[in-house]
Amino acid sequence: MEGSLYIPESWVLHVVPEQISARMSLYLAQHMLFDSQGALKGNVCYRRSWPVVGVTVGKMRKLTQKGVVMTVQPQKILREAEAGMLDKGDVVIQLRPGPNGSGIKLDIESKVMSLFGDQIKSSVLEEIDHYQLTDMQVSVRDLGALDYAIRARVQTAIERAIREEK
Amino acid sequence: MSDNKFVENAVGRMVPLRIDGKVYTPYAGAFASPPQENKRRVGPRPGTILHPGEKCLVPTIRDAIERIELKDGMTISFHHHFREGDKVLNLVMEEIAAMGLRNLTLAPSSLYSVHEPLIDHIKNGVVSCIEGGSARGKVGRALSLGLMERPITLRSHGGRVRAIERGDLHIDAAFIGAPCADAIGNCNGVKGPSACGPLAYSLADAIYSEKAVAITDYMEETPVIPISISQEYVGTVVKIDDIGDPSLIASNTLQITKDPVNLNIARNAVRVIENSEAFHDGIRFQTGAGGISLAVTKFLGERMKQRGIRASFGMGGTTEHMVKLLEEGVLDKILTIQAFDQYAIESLMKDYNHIEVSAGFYANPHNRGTAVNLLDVVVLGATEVDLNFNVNVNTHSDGMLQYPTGGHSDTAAGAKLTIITAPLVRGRIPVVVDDVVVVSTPGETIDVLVTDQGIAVNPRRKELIDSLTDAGVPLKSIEELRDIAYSITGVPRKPEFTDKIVALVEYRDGTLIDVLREVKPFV
Amino acid sequence: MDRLRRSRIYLPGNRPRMIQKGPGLGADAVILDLEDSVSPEQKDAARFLVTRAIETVNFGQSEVMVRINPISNGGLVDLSVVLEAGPDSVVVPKCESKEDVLVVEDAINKVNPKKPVAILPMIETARGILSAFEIASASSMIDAITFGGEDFTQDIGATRTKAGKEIFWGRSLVVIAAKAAGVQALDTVFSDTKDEEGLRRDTIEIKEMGFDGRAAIHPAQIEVIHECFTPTEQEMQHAANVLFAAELARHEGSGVAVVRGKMVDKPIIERAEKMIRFAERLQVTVPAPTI
Repeated sequence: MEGSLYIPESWVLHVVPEQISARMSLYLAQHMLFDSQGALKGNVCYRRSWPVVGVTVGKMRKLTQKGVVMTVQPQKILREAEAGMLDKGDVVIQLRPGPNGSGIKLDIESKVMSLFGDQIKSSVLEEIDHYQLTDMQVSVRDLGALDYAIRARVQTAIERAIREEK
Repeated sequence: MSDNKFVENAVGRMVPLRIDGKVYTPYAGAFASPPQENKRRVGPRPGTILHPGEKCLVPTIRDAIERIELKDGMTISFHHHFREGDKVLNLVMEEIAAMGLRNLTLAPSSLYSVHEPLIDHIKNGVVSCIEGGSARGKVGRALSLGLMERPITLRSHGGRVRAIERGDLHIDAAFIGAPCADAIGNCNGVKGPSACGPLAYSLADAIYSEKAVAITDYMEETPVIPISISQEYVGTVVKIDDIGDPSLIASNTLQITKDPVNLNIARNAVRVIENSEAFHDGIRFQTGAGGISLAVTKFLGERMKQRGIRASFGMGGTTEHMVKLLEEGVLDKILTIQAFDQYAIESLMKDYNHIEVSAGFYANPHNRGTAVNLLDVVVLGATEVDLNFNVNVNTHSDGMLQYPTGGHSDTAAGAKLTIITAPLVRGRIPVVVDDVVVVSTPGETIDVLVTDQGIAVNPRRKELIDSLTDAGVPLKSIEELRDIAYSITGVPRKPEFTDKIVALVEYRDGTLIDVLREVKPFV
Repeated sequence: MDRLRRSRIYLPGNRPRMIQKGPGLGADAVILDLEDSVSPEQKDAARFLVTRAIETVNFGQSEVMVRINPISNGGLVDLSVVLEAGPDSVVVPKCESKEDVLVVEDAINKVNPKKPVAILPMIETARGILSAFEIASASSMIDAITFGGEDFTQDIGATRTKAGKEIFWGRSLVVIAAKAAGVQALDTVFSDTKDEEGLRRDTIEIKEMGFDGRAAIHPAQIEVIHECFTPTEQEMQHAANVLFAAELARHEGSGVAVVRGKMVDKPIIERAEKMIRFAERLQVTVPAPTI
């Protein structure tokens, strides 16, 4: 059914207690609802720009009543991964899983460090936050990439680090 | 070091009134500080007189240094016509250091990365002060990171000559790298294996220094012809094997940019020129030697040909592209202060209508007639431009001293139409910003900014705004350009500095237009 | 009214620096490419970069196109990610049947983006050429079909030459199929970047064949392509005269417009109107009639 979201009982939804963003839900949905070929799993009809936007604690309770199990659980990446190239205007992002409880260790090198160092840091952390990831080392080698390119590279590296084995 | 009192000058920058006991006048406007009537030019003592039969040719640099009786604490100067191919400064400094001399003031017309050994000389106390000119590359960076106790004074070409003539910059010994010299001291720069074109930056040094030494690797019978620097001023001549690396002195043709974005900027700059009062028969212009500037020279030449307009002269920073215009009859004459390629050097030597002019003729604001005042148009670059059209050409956006003023503030003041060409962003660095790191050239002398995302005209130039608008040239405000820049890059943090002043930016009239401080490394 | 598509230029989808140059090139369209210019291991990286670029970068007046991978080889994954960002159109390579188009139409409908997305099928194989009309009329979302000359030549085992005899029939069929289906026809690249005269000749030839634009392989080609597609003084003068004659005829109630002794009928008058409107869009001054 167009516009509805049926979540099988056996699934575990990873959410955060506050309202989550459309993008966050998009990423959740990407992993819960699509296989590696990009086809929908099971009998779910899903509109990308729609689902689980604004799942509040209250809504979570209702879904729990319907038999869905909810936990709050930041994930760890499955493997080392890298994205981007050492090219002018690009950035190389390297991710490595760290020991449990080590949190996110960020190491940034940038051509424009004094001007945009803060912004690079917050953009990288924000993208990681969308996926609710932790316990990892993140290395950023930036050659003056614009903000959207940095975010795209982080997203790519994360996807490579968490994608299911075929 | 600075004796604490700071005042706000005419471009809104806080500048000290005294540094190390020396008094400074704050910048008051581009034409607000003419020379005081009672101040004279300060000439040198007679120096080494040569009687008949006496010789002034010595075999080594050390002999020359001994002959001129160089002592601790003196001021020595060099020109930068050899650019990254220079060997003279390093060789002389090496000798001076080996001889145990200390505390010298270095007064080069500019410094390049090849002069990196200076950093050690500074650390070892051989050099304790630098009077610019300017400093680029590694040396500039080292200065920005606090290498020296005393700040470097940055000057434009014209400002440096003014300072020398007025005695503000007193030179004890000028070392002149001369591609061609004779045994009695006449020099030129157009002949020999290390030919560089003119010796424009050395003339004032030669005339006003207490002692002048010509260092050459190629000699001809006396007198050499042409004579750029006369035997009247040079008291010592040294011949060595190599004064420079020819491949780095004069490149084979500098390439016009192929980047379509830069080509567009160049085209738009020509569009602005075409639709201004400057575009008339007999136009007099100057463009630089960067990729965009070369394209401007080419496109301007094409437009002039199409419209049947000829230029009465071109000035520069001369390259093959400008010389071709002379050869095609689009330009009547070329005035050269610096030659960038082999073609330009040869043209200077052969063409009657291509002449060498000294830095003082070119740009000294306090003489009886300066060439920049004749310009109708000049096209320049910038690292940053602020909302008042003030331009920074000396530092990177991160605060590091990297580039020279050169003739920037001179030509901007003299030309009727001053155009800055630059991409709106360079990678992630915005060119139009709220505040520039330093003001090198004041906004009152800048008329138009041409970027790939739009053209902004200084609001002071209402007639220009009108004529461009009438001609259908779309204009944006400088604030709009800043907004577009920031929307692409994000709003940059301002670089952080300590209190220590590492450079004094002296305007061409000798007033203090800005100061640069030591960069705090970003943590 | 149809978008201007005189020139379009490929920007490799995995190179931020190339994408950043897009806005300054002045092309009628930029194509953020996920296909040939992206290596297989980097398809995912390109997808994310292109999606964000579409959302963030201001390409000014240029149409923002995305060339996805062939449907049989990752195109659907591309669509599932990229459509959200709101490109103006999707270029679909190696189309050979109407099904190839319908799959894309279906994916677009599922996503239902706020801004309408056009489909631009690329016809680059022998089968594709033979199904050109079927492809061109397969969906109302199609704005134009494009001819991929390099791949086509390889597919039929021919040799690519400057004279272009080997692609003439393919080109012609694309034009005919496009116009029969009421969409634009767009041509392939001219690969010799150093031959400006050759580019000019080839572009004028395809304009005369009825193409509405072509692809540029290098930014320097864009200006030349635009010049070729701009009506000449002569063409515009003639068009202005035709319209004037038509006005006169209408006024005099004669119903027959005459230009220089020759009768001009409805198709000619319509073509003249189209040209004048085109010229006005390009902001080229239309001359006054001289009759």
